Amino acid sequence: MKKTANALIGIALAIFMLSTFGLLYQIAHQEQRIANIYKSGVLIKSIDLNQVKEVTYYGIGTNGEIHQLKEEELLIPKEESEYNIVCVMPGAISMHCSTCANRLCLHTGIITSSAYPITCLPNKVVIQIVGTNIKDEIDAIAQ
Amino acid sequence: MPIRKQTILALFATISLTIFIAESTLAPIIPFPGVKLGLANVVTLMILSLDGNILDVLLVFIVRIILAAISTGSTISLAYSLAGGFLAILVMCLIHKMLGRNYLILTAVFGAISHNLAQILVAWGLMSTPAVLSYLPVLMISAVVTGLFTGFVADFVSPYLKKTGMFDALAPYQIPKKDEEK
Repeated sequence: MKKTANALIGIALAIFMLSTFGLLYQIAHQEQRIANIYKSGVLIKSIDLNQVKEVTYYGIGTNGEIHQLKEEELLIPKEESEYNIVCVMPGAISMHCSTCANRLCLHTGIITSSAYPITCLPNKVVIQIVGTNIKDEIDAIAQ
Repeated sequence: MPIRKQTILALFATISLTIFIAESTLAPIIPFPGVKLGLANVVTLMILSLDGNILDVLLVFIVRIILAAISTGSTISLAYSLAGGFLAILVMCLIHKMLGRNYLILTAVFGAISHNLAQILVAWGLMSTPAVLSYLPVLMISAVVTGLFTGFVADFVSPYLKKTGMFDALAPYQIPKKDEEK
């Protein structure tokens, strides 16, 4: 009886070890995720979110120009009628500031997968992540 | 079935149902579907440690599932725990018969492992995507951890339950030995 008990303890420990290694392997081999930023339907920037190491901000102007902002420049210039500030984090992206009236894009929050894009309809900005396997994220499909 | 045994099993079924519902209202610490502290397993372990047989355990389990489906109203998630609980009970009774009362924690760990394994297999069969297998490492780790916790709880409580003598009716009837010493 003691021998089977020890064998079972060994099996449980083996399962635990294997699953820890499996989990670490999964964390290390993340899937590719690229964030595409569209202004008025035109792709203006494509960011590989896995390569992002620190939090960066991008400002999107009315004419579709996009440039990186430094921390002290996180203000909306007065001359721009449609201005969005995008916050890019390692593995995630969100809308930080916007000149639109309803601020729905800000309330969308942070997205990490291709399941749901961030859209600012008044300013015609769409942020969409591609590359993640959407089947992993969908919980259920109603037919 | 003798009335005393019936009453004890009904008591266990009620306790199991209460624990199950209370546990389902707790907010999950780990945001993974299916990771839960299977505290209702403690009742199964109690019945096993008080010398119940597999039919008693299955009876309590089925009653608890039906009552939980009626009271919480969500039958789909209960279908998963039905499959999981069934395999868990089979495995636990087998291991308990092999190892005895002393290795209750090990029984609990293997019950939790087989429960989560059966849940993943049912999910795989229903969704037909091998993506659910990526949940396997997380679920196995949580199974071992929660199994240890449940096992410790059961191991701690069980001698006190046995000492009260209330649950002796669960054990199969033994012919009393004649006392030779006088």
